[in-house]
Amino acid sequence: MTDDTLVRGTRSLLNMYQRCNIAVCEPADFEEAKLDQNWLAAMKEELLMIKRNNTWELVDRPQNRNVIGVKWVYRTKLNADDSINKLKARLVVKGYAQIFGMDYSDTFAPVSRLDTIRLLLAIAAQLNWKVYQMDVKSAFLNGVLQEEIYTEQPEGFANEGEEDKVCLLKKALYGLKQAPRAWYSRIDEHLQHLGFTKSLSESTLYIKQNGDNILIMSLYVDDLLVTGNNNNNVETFK
Amino acid sequence: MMSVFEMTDLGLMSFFLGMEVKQAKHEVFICQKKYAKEILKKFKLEDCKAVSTPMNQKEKLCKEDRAEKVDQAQFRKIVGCLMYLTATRPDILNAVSILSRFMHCASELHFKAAKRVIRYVKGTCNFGIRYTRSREFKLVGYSDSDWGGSIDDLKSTSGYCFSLGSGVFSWNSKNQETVAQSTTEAEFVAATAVVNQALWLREILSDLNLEQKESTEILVDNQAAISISNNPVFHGKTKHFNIKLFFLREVQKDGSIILIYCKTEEQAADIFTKPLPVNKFEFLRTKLGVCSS
Repeated sequence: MTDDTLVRGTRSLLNMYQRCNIAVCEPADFEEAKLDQNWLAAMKEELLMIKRNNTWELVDRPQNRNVIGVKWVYRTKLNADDSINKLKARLVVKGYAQIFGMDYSDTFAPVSRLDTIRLLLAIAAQLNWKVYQMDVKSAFLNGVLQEEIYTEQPEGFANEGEEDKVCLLKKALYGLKQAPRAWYSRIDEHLQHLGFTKSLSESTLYIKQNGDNILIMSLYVDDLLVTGNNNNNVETFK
Repeated sequence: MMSVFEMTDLGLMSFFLGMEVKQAKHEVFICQKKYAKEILKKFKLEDCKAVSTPMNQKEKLCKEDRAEKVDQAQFRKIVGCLMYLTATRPDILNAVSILSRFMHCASELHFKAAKRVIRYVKGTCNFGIRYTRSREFKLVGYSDSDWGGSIDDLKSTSGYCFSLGSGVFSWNSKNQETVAQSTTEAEFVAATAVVNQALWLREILSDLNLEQKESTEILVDNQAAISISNNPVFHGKTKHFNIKLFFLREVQKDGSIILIYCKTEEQAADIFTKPLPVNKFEFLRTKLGVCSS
């Protein structure tokens, strides 16, 4: 048998996987995930985080109130070299079921403009400041809710004997329409409490001045850019 | 801070919002090399031939060019990806801004132009902006506009950028909202936008305790625009843009901003208003502080 078409070069297996889009399997729902120990562990970790945060309390199902569903979202985090970093399970609220005026009102939350971030970098180069970076884990879980919101219990992890109860949220969960805003108000309050002044022209830029020392912080949701003329101050801030 | 929220200390900034950041003594370099390579891969243009400018200077794109329509989703994907790349690449900003005017009616020609931008990116993957120490710590703005550059509605494009003496850190390229009746008017509309931005940046700098004591210089390459904005004489040709005119006079009078003439060749913001020939493009690109790592 003759083969007319020539082989046009070879591709690496990794490249093939990327083209075929079958990189790493992520379970589509809880039914799939519960079969795997690793995913179960990831879900338990997320629930632990939620419990430690005091996110909700179980209450009887309210009459005449919207009870919003929750679901699990599974993601495989990869390292730069495409090896698996960790499996992440996130409990999210079905935010689309929220009703305006009842479950939420304002949802806007500011983020830094890229202009400001680059301005800070340009200043850092000029004045030879060092720029540091931090991030907040599960940032949105820290937001305190103003509204009264009920959700179902997470699939597969309902409290035994209390399966009929629902969760009354005290803190925000991912997927809630007001979660970013709740988080912003929380960290804003905390930073002002620490003695930072908020810039009037950029509401995510915070400055703390102490004599000649200046500490500057810019907030991009859960990423923090920290810089200033005194490295000790940066260390204390952390 | 770490005791209140659960946080990760990532040390010196090296990767922030998709920007790769390199810090050295009196120097910061930002680029999106990794992202640029991802774009090439995503659109299967890894093996394309590189070009030296993002857009053909002679080619004018318009909405109805009778060329065959292409897959709109694919075109939008490309433009979206390129838009994100402009975070550290002001040199492709004008090209991307022009392309994004055809999001709803992308044809074969628009698609080709979009691929050309990617081919330009291929040759300049490791380019980014370098911030260094400059002699004076002074905010400078550049403002420019073309005139009637868009074929479809003859609106002009304004562009501006700001630097503190080394690389630019704030830039913009935008199709103007109104049709300018003269080059001066187009420059005026551009200058007003720049002044707004300059006032904002001055405020931020003063919040950072780095107040700009002197007036911020805005370099404009149109003599008429400057003299009209300085000299409060009524002029028949300017009666239709009074609000902008008086605004420019006011900010110059209170001393926060001053418009200064610069030669067209020196005008860095030219790169944001129209496609340029190679030598001029490369000259201005360097002037912006865009260079390879």
